[in-house]
Amino acid sequence: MEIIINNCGSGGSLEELESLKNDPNFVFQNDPNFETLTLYDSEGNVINVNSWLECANYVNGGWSIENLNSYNGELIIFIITLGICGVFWIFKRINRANVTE
Amino acid sequence: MEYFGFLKELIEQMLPNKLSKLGYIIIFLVFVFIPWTLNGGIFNEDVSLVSEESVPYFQTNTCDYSINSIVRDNFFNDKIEILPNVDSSVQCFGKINGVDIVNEKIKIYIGTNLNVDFLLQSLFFIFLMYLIPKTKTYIFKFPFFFPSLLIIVIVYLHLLGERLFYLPLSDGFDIGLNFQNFIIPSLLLVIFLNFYLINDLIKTRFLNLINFFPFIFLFNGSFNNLNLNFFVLLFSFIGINAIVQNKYNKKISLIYLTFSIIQIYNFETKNIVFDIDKLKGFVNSSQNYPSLIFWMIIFYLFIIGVVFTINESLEYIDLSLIKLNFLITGALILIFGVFSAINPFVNFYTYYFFGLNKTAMKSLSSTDGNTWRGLASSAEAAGEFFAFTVLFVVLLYFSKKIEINNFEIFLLILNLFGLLRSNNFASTISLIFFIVVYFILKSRLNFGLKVGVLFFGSILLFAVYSLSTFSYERASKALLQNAYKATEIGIELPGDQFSYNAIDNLNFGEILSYPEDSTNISNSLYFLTKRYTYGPDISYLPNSVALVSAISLPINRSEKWGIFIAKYNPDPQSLLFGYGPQQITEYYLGHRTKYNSGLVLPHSSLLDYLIFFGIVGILLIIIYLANSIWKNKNNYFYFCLISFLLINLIKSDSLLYSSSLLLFIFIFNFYKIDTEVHNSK
Repeated sequence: MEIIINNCGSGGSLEELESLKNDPNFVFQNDPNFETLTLYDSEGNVINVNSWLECANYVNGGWSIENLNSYNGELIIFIITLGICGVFWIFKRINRANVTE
Repeated sequence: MEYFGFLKELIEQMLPNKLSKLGYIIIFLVFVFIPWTLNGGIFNEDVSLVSEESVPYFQTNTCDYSINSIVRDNFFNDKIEILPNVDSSVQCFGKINGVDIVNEKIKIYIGTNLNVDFLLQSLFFIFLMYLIPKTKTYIFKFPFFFPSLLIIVIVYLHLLGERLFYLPLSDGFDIGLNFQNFIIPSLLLVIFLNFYLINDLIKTRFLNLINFFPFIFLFNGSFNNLNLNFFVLLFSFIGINAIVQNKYNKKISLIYLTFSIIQIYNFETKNIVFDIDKLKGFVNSSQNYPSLIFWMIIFYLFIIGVVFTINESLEYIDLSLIKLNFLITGALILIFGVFSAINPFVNFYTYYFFGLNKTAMKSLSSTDGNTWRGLASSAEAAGEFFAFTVLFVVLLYFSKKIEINNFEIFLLILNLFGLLRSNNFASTISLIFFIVVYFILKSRLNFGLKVGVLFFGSILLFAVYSLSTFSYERASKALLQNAYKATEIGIELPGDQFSYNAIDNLNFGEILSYPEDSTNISNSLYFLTKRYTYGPDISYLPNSVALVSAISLPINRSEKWGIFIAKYNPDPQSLLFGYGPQQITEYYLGHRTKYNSGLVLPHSSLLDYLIFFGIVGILLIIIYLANSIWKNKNNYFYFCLISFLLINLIKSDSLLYSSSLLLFIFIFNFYKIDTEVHNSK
């Protein structure tokens, strides 16, 4: 429940979500009062949801408002770049120490 | 065997000694194989030949196989084309992200990513810089921190200004500086890393940079996904040092500042994006204040940086080494052009690692008016480069007595072959012409006679060629005719008994009878039509518009210049002072014509700079150039080289490329170089 509220807000009821599992032909209706949210899955796929129920359904299936996939990608590049800077800095320090000796 | 011995010696001489051969192989593998092999493996057993049958499989399983996983079975597969998929995520970098069949060719799209490209390509270009041999150490006043910080701020301005250009290239591109989204912090950190690494390299290689600058024509330095160029940033970094070391031309800077203020004052923000295509890395894609200011600063710093580098390294300029590097570059452009044409993998890797503005040609056969551009983004620029190299070698031989060895003759033949394949008639003719000019100037005739022979001789030759090919009647109207063809006329022009209207009948004066606002013709076309129809009639002198038109037709420029006239619609301030450096958006999209999509350039650097700096700017540039040439009129070597470039620039867009601009600045400053040749041996 906490994950759903964190992602979709607290604008709906979980009972409705439970009943949805028994209806394979359920069609989500747009909620004009619900601000469209973009959800991402673990592979970086994107979907826009237009109601709290739709959002809760996807979050239940592992989707999230945070694009962990792309977030991690750029973060990894950031860390690699930082790592190269660090290695080069250490390399220069060692070199300088050798020259001083 | 002699050649191979020389080649070995050359490589040993050019490469630093510290790194063993194994080290170079490891670095090569790190760049070319590891990033493009991750996850998808190498020589994957699951994948065999990519064929029409396996296309659906790859379409379903995107982001699963790396480019190198298909190398083994597809290296000689002539049915495939490999192209970058520019908006890939980091995870899908280097992997097959899409496959399509287009005209019986299987197009394989390989994932590339903004952040990965910037890091990987930067490191490769820095590695190339490492290959430049060391010279005496040069101490910069502000070696690293201050210039790097300034470049970071300037690039942030660029990302802010050209946000609309980057939005489709990176999912979630957000200009806000926060640590929720690492796209921008990662890009800015790469700049920091670049200059941190360059700082160490440049001290001992700065004085040798100019000797190796011809390689910029091979390694263009444009980033795959960014509208930035590595070498432009590098010289801007040097330019900042030129300013803090107080070694820059203050008068020119003041004029530039005045122009910039006027251009900013006159600027109009628009929410449009210009498709930069092959101009990537050296032209503005957007129309807003941050992007305008970025290009103003970067253009200025680049020029200052290049001039500063030349001035500071005058004593270390080695003409025989520059000549060799020109020849090697020309030969490599041709060789890699051929390999890129016959192999899709080489084609992709050369595009990516050489920082090309667009992928090399994919066939050996000529297209577009029988031209073959090979590795270069433009056949015209490639032809100019080959012709310049030949002229440079020939003039060095005769004027500076710099001899050519057997290996260089072999390279020269490759360059000549490149010139032949580029089919650049104007460059070839001007090459021959300026060799002849050089010998006329060197002859014992008196100065007046030399000038007379050259002036009237060239007019006579041009006139004989033009008039034997085209009638003056047709040639004098071709420019306006093409301009009207490119214009979307806003009114219905009545036809005659054969349904031919005023444009078909070349009766341009009739169009002037309609109110200017209703015709949708550009103000430059309106002005030229008026001048053509009612212009001053001076006895024995042709109409100025007719004369330019008659010149444009034989050099195959009447269509392109006609399109320029149809599009160029400046307000009075922009006409006088231009839109700003590298600002082509307003010219290109500001006035509706039949050519508002695709990339149809003016095909004249003079016209390009008219857009950038207006009539006043062009006049000042001409005066400055003419003054320098006149002062050095007795330096025939310099005179021929700079005149060759100027003549070619009138009919080509080369100055829109940073490499050609660098060459031009180098040659313009050539008179400063001591006539004594410093021989590397």
